[in-house]
Amino acid sequence: MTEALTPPGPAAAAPELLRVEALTKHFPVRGGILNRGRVVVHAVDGVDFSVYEGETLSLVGESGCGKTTTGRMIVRLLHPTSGRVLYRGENLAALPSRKLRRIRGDLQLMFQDPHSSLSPRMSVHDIVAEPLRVQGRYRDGGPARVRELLDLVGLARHYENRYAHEFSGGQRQRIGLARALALDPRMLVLDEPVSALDVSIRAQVVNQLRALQRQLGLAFVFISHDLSIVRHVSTRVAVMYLGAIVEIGTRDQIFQSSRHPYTRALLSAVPVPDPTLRDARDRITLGGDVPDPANPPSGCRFRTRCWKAQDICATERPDLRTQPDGHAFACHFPESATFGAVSDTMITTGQQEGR
Amino acid sequence: MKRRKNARAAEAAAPETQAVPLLSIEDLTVDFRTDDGIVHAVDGVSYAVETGEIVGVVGESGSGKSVTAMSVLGLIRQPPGVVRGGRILFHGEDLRAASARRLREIRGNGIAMIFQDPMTALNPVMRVGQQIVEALRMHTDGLSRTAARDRAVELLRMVGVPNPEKRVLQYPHEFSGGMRQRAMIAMAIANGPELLIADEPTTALDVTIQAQVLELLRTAQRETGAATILITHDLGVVAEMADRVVVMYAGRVVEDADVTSLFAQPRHPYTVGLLGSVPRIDSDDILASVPGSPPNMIQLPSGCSFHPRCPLARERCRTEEPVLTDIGGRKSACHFHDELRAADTEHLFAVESR
Repeated sequence: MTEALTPPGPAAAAPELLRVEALTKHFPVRGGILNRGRVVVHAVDGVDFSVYEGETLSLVGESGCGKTTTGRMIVRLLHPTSGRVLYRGENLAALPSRKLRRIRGDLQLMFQDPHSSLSPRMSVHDIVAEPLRVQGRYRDGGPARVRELLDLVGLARHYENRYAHEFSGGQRQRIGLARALALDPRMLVLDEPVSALDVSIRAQVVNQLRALQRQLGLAFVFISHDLSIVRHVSTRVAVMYLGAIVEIGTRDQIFQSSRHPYTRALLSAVPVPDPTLRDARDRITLGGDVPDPANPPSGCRFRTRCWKAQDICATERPDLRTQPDGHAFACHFPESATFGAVSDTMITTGQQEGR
Repeated sequence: MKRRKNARAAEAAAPETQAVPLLSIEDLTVDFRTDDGIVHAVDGVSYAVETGEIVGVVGESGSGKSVTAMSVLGLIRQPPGVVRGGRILFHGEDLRAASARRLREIRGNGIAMIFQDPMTALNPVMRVGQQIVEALRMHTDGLSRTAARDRAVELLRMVGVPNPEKRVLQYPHEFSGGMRQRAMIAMAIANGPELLIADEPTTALDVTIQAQVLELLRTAQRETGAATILITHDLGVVAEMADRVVVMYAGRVVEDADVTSLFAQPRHPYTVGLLGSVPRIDSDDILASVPGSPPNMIQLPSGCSFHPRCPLARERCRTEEPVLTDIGGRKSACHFHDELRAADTEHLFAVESR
């Protein structure tokens, strides 16, 4: 189940920056009547992937799929239950704290919510300068570095003495971005970076992120539930469902020839802003809800909502198998590679209650 | 402070159609008093909804799309809100002049609302079935408890809640997000309203659940024949659901057109920018982006509110406020809408090179 996955593909030419191996996070929660009995939520359950220099790997999936937890384990905001996170071959969990602190600058996280992730008591200058101060790098040219960072993300320098609440959502995300870039990271974990923004502002921030990535050669782990945005920013995409990767491949493999039924359903559920396609698209409507991660289905976790499920799906959990072209998917009955072959008619899966 | 005469101008340009529309919002103006000054949330908004029609109202946060809809049912808290002017005609009856009692009659029965967050609409300490029963009995005299309960089960089944007999006895927190949204839709259609107002009904939901709820709204609309105002910031949802689209910006309607024309040939630069900045699941095209941010609603720019962000803007836009004008079966509030008729709108806004 947890054999290391090394997808080649176009990005493989670049050196590997980060490798995640059999990463697992279990949260114990109290459950049941009167909080008796302990339940374990399998938030992330054996995830493997690599991130190469300068690329964008997107983690997509619906709420509860484990994408945010995975991102937080990468930047060490959460400690994995088991598994390893290797940065340039070094296991972050085994590093002494001095060394970890140095590497922390290389791996930065940008938060989703521009309203709660910036301190209201600090000026823009102090917010951006904070990581420099913590790392003891402020004394050496700190103020100039802050102004340089503001330039980089397209914020006027005279904003540096103002407070975060004086800014709009898009500008706040730029402030957060400037702070994330302060220590010259090699890699940014972006957790839903534009989800809280209005449409017209979203495009500005997405374009800005892409420009910065080119300019600085950054690798991104882009966590999002918005598949349309993901299509625009990704080099490769990993689709997650209930704590596991069900499919991973290049952007084109995922968006043009996905093989896992869940990926197909996810793609077909996204509304397209073109009224002329209203009746022309294949549509798969999944029944039911995502099952409870404290009590996931046996075998394949997607089987309770899958229209192709057979007996074997309930008994045997499918491995994530890598194809010669680097495309990997975990399904006993994958879709054929040609797109659109899924459904000439609308598929509606059973209205099973999440079990 | 400036005030617009959008509605009157629009009326002059488009003489009354024979039939009275189901709902007609005319020159509605709503302000909010805040510590920083008066927010002109809705500033002379006019649009109509015909029987059985799905009207998508799109715009970014603060564009006034929700405030307009909340005003229809008298749901604006006053103060801090002040409905300063305009009329809201439902079957020709002005709801602004209606008594509280009359409004209660219309709410639920004539017009029903579906909110973004079902938890704000459902009572957390009351069983779901009981809430539907209450809604039913409020509007139907002499409906027995058992009959209402049976009808509640029936409604939940209709909106696709599994095991409705068991579910009616549960509380809202025992429902998942998608199921709550279904329960709220069941409540909304319980009394067969003629108009449904759905305010961002799927924004808080995951995409596969959103697809379920949109499908359900389509079914509900087909079966009840209710007209629907669908408020959303998601142009994909509008493209899939709406017959007609009203685009709002900074408290005003800037464009009003049937859905196909609007997406094929937008006639207001803001609509062009909005369409260009939306990434599409079926394309790798790069995003055009509208520069700047939406204006401060306390101090709106002079003339056309969009002029500071508009690539077509010139002197006239800074001084003279455009009115929403009929331009042949559709409306636009741009002085230079004609220039967009033949223009290659794809390149109106700067596009980042790949």
